[in-house]
Amino acid sequence: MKLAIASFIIIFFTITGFSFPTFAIDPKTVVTEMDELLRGDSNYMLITMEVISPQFDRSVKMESWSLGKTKSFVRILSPPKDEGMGYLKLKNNLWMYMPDVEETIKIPPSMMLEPFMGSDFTYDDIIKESSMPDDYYIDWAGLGSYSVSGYDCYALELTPKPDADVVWGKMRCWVRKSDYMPIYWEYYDEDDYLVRIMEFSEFKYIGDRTIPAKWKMENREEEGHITTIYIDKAQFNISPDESIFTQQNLEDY
Amino acid sequence: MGVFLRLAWRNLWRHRRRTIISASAIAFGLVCIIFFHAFITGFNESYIENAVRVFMGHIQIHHQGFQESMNIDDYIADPQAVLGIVSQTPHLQAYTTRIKGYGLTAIGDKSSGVLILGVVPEEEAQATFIEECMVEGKYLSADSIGTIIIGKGLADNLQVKVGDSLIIITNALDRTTGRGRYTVRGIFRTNYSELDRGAVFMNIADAQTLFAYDDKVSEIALLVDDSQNVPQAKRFLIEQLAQERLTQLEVLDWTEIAPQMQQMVEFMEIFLEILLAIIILAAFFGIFNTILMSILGRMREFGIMKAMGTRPSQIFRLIIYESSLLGLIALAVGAGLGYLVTVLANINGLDLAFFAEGFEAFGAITTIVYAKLTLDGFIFALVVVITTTVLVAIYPAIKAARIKPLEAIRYI
Repeated sequence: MKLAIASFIIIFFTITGFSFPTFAIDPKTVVTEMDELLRGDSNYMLITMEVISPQFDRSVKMESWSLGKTKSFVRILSPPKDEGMGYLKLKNNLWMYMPDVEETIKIPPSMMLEPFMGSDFTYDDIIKESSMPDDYYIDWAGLGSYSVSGYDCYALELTPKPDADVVWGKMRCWVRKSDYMPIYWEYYDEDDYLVRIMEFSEFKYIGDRTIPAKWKMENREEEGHITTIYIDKAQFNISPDESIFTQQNLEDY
Repeated sequence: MGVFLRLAWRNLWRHRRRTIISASAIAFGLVCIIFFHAFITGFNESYIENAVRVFMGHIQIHHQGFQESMNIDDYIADPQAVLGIVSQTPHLQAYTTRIKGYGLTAIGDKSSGVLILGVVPEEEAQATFIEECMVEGKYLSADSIGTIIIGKGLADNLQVKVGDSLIIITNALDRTTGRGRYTVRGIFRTNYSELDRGAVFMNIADAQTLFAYDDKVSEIALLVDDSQNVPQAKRFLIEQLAQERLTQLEVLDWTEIAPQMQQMVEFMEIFLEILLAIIILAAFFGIFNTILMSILGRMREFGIMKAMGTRPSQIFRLIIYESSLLGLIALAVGAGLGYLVTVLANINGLDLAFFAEGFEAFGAITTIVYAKLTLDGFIFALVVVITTTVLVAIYPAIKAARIKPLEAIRYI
C-alpha cells in the first residue's frame, strides 16, 4: 500500500512536471514589471504622435504627467489648431479644456473609447490611470520561449476583468525575458478578431531607464491607418506637484 | 318573379319600424367597415408621410456605405454635380443638402451624444417639417451662424434654454477635434424621441467648419410629390448618377433608410385585416340576428301562405328578395353615411390626443389622423355587406319554406 501511494506520488509529479513546465516566475509579475517600466510611480513625457491614414497625415505634440493610479494630465502643444487643449483625468472623471472656446467640459465614460484626436488610440489609451494588472487576468499564452523581432520573449494572454473599463476582448503581449521590455502586443475584439497591433522599438535610455521610444499601432479594422507614438523625453518617479492635476491648471494656458 | 318581388317590397313596408331597425343595423356595420378601412389606410399614410417629412425625405443620396457607417470620411465630394441631376428628378417636390455626423454636446459637467445636422435652413424648411416643429425660440436662418436648434428632450437633459450656449465636439475630417461654442436659438419637438433627445441642427456653414468639410456634404435628401412615385424617381437617380460616373454614391429610399418603418406599416396592415374581420363578424351576427328574428316572428304568416298553396321555393325566394331589398336600402343609407363620416374625418382629421403617449412610439408629429377613403376599400365594404345580408337570410328562408302549415298557424 505504502509502495502504491509512493509510486502514485512519484508518477503524479513526473506527469504534472512534464505537462506543466512552469517558469520560475509568475505571469502577473511579468506584466506588473512591464507596466512599472513604462509608467513608474509617476512620470512626465514629451510625446509626438504621428497619425497616418489614407486621407490625412498629421502630427500631434503633447506633454503628459501622471501620478499614481488616479491622476493624469495631458496638454497639446501642436498643431496650432489644437494648441493648448488639455485633458485632466482624476479617478474615473475626464475633463477636457478647449482654449479657443474657453470652456472645460466633462467627457462621458462612453467617449473614453473613442479615437483620441483622430488616432488609432482611444482617449483611454492615452489618458489612462489604471494599470494592466488592475484591469486584466493574466496568464501565459504559451510556454517556452518565443522569438519576436529577434528577442527572446514571454508570451502572455490578458483577459479583462468583468468590472474593468476595457474595450478589448483579449490582449496578447510578448515581453522580452531579459528586462520585461514590451516588444509586441495584439488587441482582440469581443469576437476574437485581431483589431490592433502594437510594435515597440527603438529601445533607448530615457530618464532613468531603457524604454521603447517608438510605439507603432496598426489598425487592422481600417486599412492604412497607423498611429506611431515617439517618446521624445521622459522622466520617471519625479513626484510631480499635485497642483498640476487641478482644473485651475487645466484652464491656465 | 314580379309578384314576389313586389310582395317582398310591400312586406318590408308593412313592418316599417322593424325594417328601419334592421336596415339601420346593417347600415351601421357598413359605416364601420368603410370608416375603419379608411382610418387605417390614413393612419399608415400619415405615419410614413410624417417620418418622411419630419427628417428623412423619400430618397437619400450618400457616399457608398455612409448610411451604415456614418463615417465622416464617407462624404459626397462634389455635391454640385449631384444636385444638377437631383434637380431634374421626375416628381421632385423639394430637396435638401446636409452634413451629418455624430458628436458630443456638453456644458459644464453635463453632456450628451448627439447627431449633428448641418442644413441649408431654407431648403430644410421646404423639404421637412422641422420649422413647424419649433416650440421655443426661432428656426435657423441663412445668417444664423454660431447658433443651433436642439430638441426638447436634449434641452431638458442638459437643462438649457433659448439663449444659452453649448459646446459641441466631434472628430473632424482633418483628424482634429472639431469644436465650437453655439448659442441655442430655438428648441423643437418632433415627437420622434431620437430627434428630440439626440439631434442638433446648425447652419451648414457652421457644420463645414466643425467637421472641416469645406464644400463637401454627407447627404442629399429628396421629397417627391407622392410616395407612389418613389421607385420612378429612384430609378432615374441611379441611372443618371451612373451615366455621370458618380457610382461611388448610394441611392436609398425610405424603406431602406428606415426598414423598421416598413415593418411597422406591414404590421398595421395585418392589424387592419384582423380588425376588419372582427367588424365583419360582428356585422354578420347583427344582420343574422335581425333577419332571423323578423322571419321567426312571421311564421304564422308563412304558414297561412303555404295553406293557400304557395310553394316552398316561392317562400324561399320571397325571403331572399326581402333581405336583398333590405340589404340594398341599408347599402344606400350606409354607403352615403359612411362616405360622409369618412370625408369629414378626412377633412377635419381625428384628434387622438387621448392616445398621445402611445403615439409617440409611432413618432407621429401630430396626434391627428386623416382618414383616407380608397375606391378599393369602399367597394370591398359594399360587397361584404350585401353578400352577408343575402347569405344570412338563407337559413331562416329554408326554415320558413319547410314549415308545415298547421304547425305554423299554431306557432304562436
